[in-house]
Order: sequence, then structure tokens, then C-alpha cells
Amino acid sequence: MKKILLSLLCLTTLCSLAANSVTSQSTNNLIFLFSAYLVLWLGFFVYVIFLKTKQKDLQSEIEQLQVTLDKS
Amino acid sequence: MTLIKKLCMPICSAIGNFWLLLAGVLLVADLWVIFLWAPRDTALGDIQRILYLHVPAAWVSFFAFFIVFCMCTWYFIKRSDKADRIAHASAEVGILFTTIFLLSGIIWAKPVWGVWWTWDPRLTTTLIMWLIYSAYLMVRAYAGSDKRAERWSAVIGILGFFNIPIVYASTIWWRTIHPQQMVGPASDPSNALPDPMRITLYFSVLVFTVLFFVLLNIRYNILSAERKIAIIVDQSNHERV
Repeated sequence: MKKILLSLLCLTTLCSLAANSVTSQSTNNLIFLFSAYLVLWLGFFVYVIFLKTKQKDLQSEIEQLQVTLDKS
Repeated sequence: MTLIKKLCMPICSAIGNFWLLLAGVLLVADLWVIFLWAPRDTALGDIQRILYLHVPAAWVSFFAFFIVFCMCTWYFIKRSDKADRIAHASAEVGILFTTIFLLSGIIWAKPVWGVWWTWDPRLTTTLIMWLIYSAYLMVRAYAGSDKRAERWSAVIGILGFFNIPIVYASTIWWRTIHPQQMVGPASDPSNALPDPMRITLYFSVLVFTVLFFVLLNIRYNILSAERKIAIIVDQSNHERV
């Protein structure tokens, strides 16, 4: 969870820096629109990766349990 | 071997999750509807399209925390482990959506209001909501023994929910620069969205809700497997002693 929040915070900072440097009436605020959707997709991806990592850890724990049970 | 199979089942079902793929496809379809089908707003221009992710993220956050409230109440009545796990999973996914809700609002505010953040009632109450459920997750992580963490976090889950109606009604109760509700029970008919925009918004709400249930299911399965493993490890340690 901490990783997700940190990633999103970094991303927003980057987007805001980019938006500050690029924004003009001619760009029609598209950079803000892009930033918002980037945050959405990145948020989901980071969370899904977090879930997958948890699953991997569980799998290895189960394998260790299997070995312990087999020995006993 | 049967024991191991029982443990692996929820994890396998989570890994090969067809629903996650379906949610991904729906999200892409949602992007198509938002950018290619929905008309451009005449007043705000393209920046108005942030609404189609901001409002659904808000709806899912409220819904997720409503589930947390119900499950925490159920936990206190029945002392059910299952209720506790659902509440935990729902709070975590809810925090993800609240973060998206807050950040999309911040990004929308800069070009429209000229500032990234202002202490407007809606923004402030939403930040409080985010902090309450962050506290819920922190208590779960740092409260020590499992039972103590369950009880304390259930108290936060129940009390924290009373902030949700305040977040929702903040634009009605107080003077605010946040736009008034355009859909839902508290919306003003004179402020209603045109049909294509309203349909796009409803579709986005549907897609986000599907995604919420998919993520909730995966997280719940992982929590269940973790709990089962912890019980088995405890039992084997007791047997050794």
C-alpha cells in the first residue's frame, strides 16, 4: 500500500511539473486530461502488480509448508 | 496433499482471473466511449472528460466504505473472520479509488480553478475520508495481535463511515466552489447533464464497479489464503511443542 501511494505521489508530482511547464491555451489543457488518465491506469497497474507479488509470496510459502509436511 | 490443494485453490482462482481480463477490456471500452463517443463540453472543453473517471471513482469509494461499515458491524455482531477479511479488502481497494478520486480532482482543479488545492468543504471532507481509511489500514498493519487489530479497525470502519454522508452533502450544506451534483438523488434538474454525457458517465460507473468487485475478490482470496496458512503454521508449532 505504501508503495502504491508513493508511486502515485511521484507520478502526480511529475505530471504537475510537466503541466506547469507545458500549459498554454493552445494545448487546451490536454496535458491535464492526459495526466488524470495516466494516474488512473498507473494506479490500477501498480495495485495489480502489488496483488501479484502477494500471490507469489503465498505460493512460495505454500511450497515451504509442503516440504515441511512431507518431512514430518 | 488435499490440504495443500485447499490452500492453493483461492490463489489459483485469483491468478487465472478471467474477470480481471474482462475488467481490463471494459476499461478500454470505457476509454473509447469517453474519448470518441461522448461529445465535447462547450464550456470547459476536453478537460471536462476527467468527470468520467472522477465521479465513478467517488461512487466506488463511497460504495467500498459502505461495505466496510456493513462488514465491521457484522464482525461485531457475529465475530466473523470472513466479515473482517471482506472489510479489510474493501478498505484497501476503496483507498485506491479514493486516491484516484482525489488526484483526478486536483488535476482538474488547476486549469479550471487556477489552483491545485483549496480548503473547500468537499475537498477537505474527502481528504478526511482518505485519512480515516488510511488510519484503518495502518491499525490493521501495526496493532499487534490479530484479534486486537480486528477490533480496533472495526471501530474505525464503523465510526469512519459517518463522514461519507458529510462528504456527499458538503456541496449542499456549505458554500462551495465545487460543482453541484449533476446526477443522483441530490442533483439539481436545471444542472442535469445532456443524455450522451449522462450515458457515458453511467457506463463509466458500471465499469468501475465491475473493476472494484474484481479487485475486491482477488484481495479477499489472498487474505483468506494468508489466514489459512497462519492457522496451519500455528497448529504445527503447537503440535511440535
